[in-house]
Amino acid sequence: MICQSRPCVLTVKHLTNKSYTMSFRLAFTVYLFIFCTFSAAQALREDQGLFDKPDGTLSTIKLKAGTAVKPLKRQGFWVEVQVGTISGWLKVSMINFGGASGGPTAIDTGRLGTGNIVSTSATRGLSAKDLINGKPNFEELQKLEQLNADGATVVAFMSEGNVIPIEQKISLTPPKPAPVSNAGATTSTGAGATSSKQKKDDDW
Amino acid sequence: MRARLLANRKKTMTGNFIGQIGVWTLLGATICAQAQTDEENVGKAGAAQVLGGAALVVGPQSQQYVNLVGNAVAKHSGSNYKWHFGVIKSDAINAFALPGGYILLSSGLLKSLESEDDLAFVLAHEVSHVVRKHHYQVVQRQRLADQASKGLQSVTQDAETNKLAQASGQIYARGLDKSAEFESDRMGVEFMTRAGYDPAAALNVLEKLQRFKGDDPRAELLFSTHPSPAERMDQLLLVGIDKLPRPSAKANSARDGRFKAFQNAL
Repeated sequence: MICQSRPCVLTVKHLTNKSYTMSFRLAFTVYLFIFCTFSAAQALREDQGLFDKPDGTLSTIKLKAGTAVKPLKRQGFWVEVQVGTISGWLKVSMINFGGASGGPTAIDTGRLGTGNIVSTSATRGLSAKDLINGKPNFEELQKLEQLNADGATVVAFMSEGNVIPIEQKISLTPPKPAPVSNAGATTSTGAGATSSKQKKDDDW
Repeated sequence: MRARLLANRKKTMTGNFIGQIGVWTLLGATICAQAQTDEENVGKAGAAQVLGGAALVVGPQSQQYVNLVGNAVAKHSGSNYKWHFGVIKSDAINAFALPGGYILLSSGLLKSLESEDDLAFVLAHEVSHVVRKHHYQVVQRQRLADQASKGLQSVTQDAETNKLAQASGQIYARGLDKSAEFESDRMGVEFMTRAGYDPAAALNVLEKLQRFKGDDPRAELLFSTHPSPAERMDQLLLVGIDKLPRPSAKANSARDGRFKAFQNAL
C-alpha cells in the first residue's frame, strides 16, 4: 500500500469534483496495492520512506510494511526498486528477500546478467555419491600440505592490492529467534552490527 | 630457629606451587597439542577423501593466490592453525572446510566469482567452519557413537585413517546444521571486513549462488547441504551486515588484475 505525503502528486486537473477525486485516489491506491502484491517478488520489512538516491536522500513517498517491491539493481548495500510506476532506492536490509519468512526466494536485483557463469556440464567427482564411495587420495593430500603462505608475503600482497585492515572492532551479533509476522515480513530487530565508526553511506 | 624452619617451609610450598603450575601448564599444552594433532589428522583424512573425487588444479600461481587471500582473512580469525588452501579441478559449485586448517575450493565455484572480495568471503566462510570446529565436532560425535556400538574396538592406524576418510565423505555429503552455516556466514563477514575487504561482497556471492538454484547439477550438492542463498542473505541482513563499515579504499588495478589472471588460469 502506498501513502502519498503530498496528495497533489496524484491529483488530476480535470477532476474538480472532490468526491470524484477521492474515489480516483482510492481506486489508484487499490490498483497499486494489487499490482505491487502480485507482480513483484520481494516485500518491505517495515514502514519505510523511499529514497531518491543511494545516499540517504529521502523522497516524499512512504511505503508500508509488506509492500511488494521489484529490485532493479543493487549498488553496495542499496537496491534500486520499482513500486508500481515509481522507482527509488532502499537499503538492502529494508527488503525481505523471503528466505527466512518462507516467502518468495528469488533474488533478482538485475546486476547479475549472464555474468561469467559457464554453461552447464556434468559435475566431475564431487557428487554426494563420490564423496561417500570414493577412495582417499593421499598423494594429492601431500601436495595440499605444501601449499601455504608466510606472513610477510601475505602483508606485501595485501598492501599491493590496497587491502587495508580495519583496526576498529567489527562484530555482528547473532539474532534472537524472532516471531514471523503474518504480513509476510520478518521483524528485523536483530540488527546488531557494532563498530565505533560507521560510514554514513556506502556507495563508492 | 623456628622462624628459619617456617621460612624454609614457605619456600618449599612456593616451590611446590610453582612446580605444580609448570606441570599443569605442560599437561595442558600436551593435551592441546594432541587435540590439535587429532584435529589435523581428521582434516587430512577428510581432505584426502575429497581429493579422491577431484584432484588439485595444476597451477602453482593459482594455488599461491588462494593461499595469500585465505591467509589474509584467516589472520583476523584469532586462530593459530597452519592454513592450507587448495583449488580442486571440478565443475561443481562447492567448497570444503576440513578440520585442522585444510580448505578446498572447486574451480567451478571460483569461476563464478567476480572479484577478490567475493573470493575473500568464500574463504572466510570456510575459515569460520574450521575455527568453530563444525565438522570436527560431528566427527567426534560419530566416533563416540561408533565406540559405544562397537565396544571400543582397537583399530590399526591405517584402518582408522581410511575409516575417518569415509566418515568425512559422509559428513560432507550430508552437510551441517543450518545454524552452523549461518554462523560461518556471519563470522566470515567479520573476518573479511577486519582484513579490509568489502562486506557487501558477501551479498554478491549469495546472489550469484542463487542463480544456480534449480536443476543445475553443478550446484546440486551445495543446495542439498546448505540453506538457500536467499535465506543466508536474509540472516546476514538481520544481523546488520549493511551497518558494517566498508573499506574507504576501492580495489585498485593490482587487485582486479591479479584476480582476473587467477580466473583465466583456472
